[in-house]
Amino acid sequence: MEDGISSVVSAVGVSRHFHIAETGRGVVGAVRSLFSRRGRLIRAVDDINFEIPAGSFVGYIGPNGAGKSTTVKMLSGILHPTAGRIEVLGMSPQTHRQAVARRIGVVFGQRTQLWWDLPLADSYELLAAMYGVPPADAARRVKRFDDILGIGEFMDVQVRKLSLGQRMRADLAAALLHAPEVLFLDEPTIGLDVVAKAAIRDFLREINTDGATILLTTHDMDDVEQLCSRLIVINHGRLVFDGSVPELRQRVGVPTTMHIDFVETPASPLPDLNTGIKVAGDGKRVTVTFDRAQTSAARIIAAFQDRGEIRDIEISEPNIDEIVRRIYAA
Amino acid sequence: MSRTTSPGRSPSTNLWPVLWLLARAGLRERMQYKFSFLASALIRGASIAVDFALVAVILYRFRFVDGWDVFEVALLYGPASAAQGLFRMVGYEIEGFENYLINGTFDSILIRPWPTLFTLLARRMDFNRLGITAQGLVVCALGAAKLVARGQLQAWDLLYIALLPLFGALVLLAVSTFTAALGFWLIRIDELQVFTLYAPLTASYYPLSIYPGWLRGLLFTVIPMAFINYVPVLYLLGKGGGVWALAASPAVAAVACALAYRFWLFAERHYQSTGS
Repeated sequence: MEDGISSVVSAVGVSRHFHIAETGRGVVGAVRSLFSRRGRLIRAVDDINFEIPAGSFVGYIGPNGAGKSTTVKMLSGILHPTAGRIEVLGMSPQTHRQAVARRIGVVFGQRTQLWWDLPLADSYELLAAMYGVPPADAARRVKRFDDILGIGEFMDVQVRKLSLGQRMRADLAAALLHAPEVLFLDEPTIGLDVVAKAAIRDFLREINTDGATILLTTHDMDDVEQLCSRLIVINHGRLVFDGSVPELRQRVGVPTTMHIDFVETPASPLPDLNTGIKVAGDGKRVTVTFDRAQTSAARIIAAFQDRGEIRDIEISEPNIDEIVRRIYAA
Repeated sequence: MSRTTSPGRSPSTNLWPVLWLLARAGLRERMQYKFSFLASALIRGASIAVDFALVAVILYRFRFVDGWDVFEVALLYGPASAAQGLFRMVGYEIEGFENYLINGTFDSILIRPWPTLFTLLARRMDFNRLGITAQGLVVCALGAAKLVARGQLQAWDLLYIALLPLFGALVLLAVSTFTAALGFWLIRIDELQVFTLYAPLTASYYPLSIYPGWLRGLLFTVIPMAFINYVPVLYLLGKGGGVWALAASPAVAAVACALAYRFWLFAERHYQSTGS
């Protein structure tokens, strides 16, 4: 911030450590642990630095337990960092929690912010009041969210009766009702079907185009490739990559895995494909790892067509764990 | 840039319209189950009435508890019980605060642009608990009517007694908030609340003079239940104390609330959240 770059989110040397008390086995152990200070120190987030300029769409990815949620919780003022400094919109989300809260939107995919037993419309009414949004503005925004997310059809339904996909769309709209300048989204597409994911991606793209800065944690490499101009990868609490998706691709590739099941064990040798494509055969199953940016799935299938009758093809999307493994190997 | 760097104070939004809206939402939430709303209000009132029946049985057996007869004790029991109902209506979420710590749902309180305690209390008002208040007020009225008839109370004393549940509810809210704040370190606080809140509340149904000194000391200081009924009623019935006793109740309620809130603000910075 000092150097005049208009970053709206910055983390400088941010760490968050947790002290996990060691609970011994059995009753004796449990009692003993009450009086002992022994335990393990977990470095959930360890000395992380980044600056996010206004209008960015950043993907924040990493394996389970990498520290993604802990980071989002610190950025949104829920947790206090053990060390380091965080600024959001020029303020510390810890010391100016309420002022920051008024200008950011937060969504946790795993839990809802809505009023469980009330019709959805009531949650919006309550949130508008809480954030001081004039009713006319709130109505206009809800109308617009309905156009993209289709939340209108279940506006009068109690939140607890909504499906996961419906609830997620409703939660997103709720987080945006006060037109926040910065959005922190923790796994907003987790467990959703293709249609719901697509609706949410369209929506996020539009919100970002309107000027909102978005940081999104996800497990879904598709989210990142379709939405994010920049990617931050963390593992074991440490930042291991910070750059664009093309840069990641150049450095380690973004691997897609295809399993081809043949009716009979295919004739060897297996076709020799371009460099960068790994082929491994195991009986009737052949596994191909490739980068979609360089080779299309159709070309690979074509190369295998004369090796025997294909019974089934299964494509698994780029796997974050695999990407992280490659970053370490590179 | 100028806009993003100005360190902020939250723009003030008026608190009361929001509180009103939230209270109405809470009522609506309850009304989703109309039958159970009425039934449970009645059942709560009735089950608490059993409490007083027990007190009354003891009094019937012994006639007096430390010089207090059943009508006088009704003046202790009634306001305490009415206060309990008010507190449990407003403090529903504070009472069950352990859930927020175990599930990590306190997260969703922290992301709102309001003081956390306010957002928390506003999350739900449980109007069912007014059954307890109604029952307490009935007991209080029965006792007071007899005492006025006996000339032990003046009619205008009743005005003050009518305010006691309010002061009491604030004391209970303070004690409960303090206990809940300990949860930021202890996580499990449901059992602790029995010690800090419910046991002392039950103790306040009887004249405090029957308890050993250490317990009385506790109820006059750390857990100031003495002031939700005993201290002012003692004076009103001419059993002791001075006119200061009437001021002590609201004063203690205010101080307890202020201290509890201070402690809450300190404690919430130690919130640990949970894994996702």
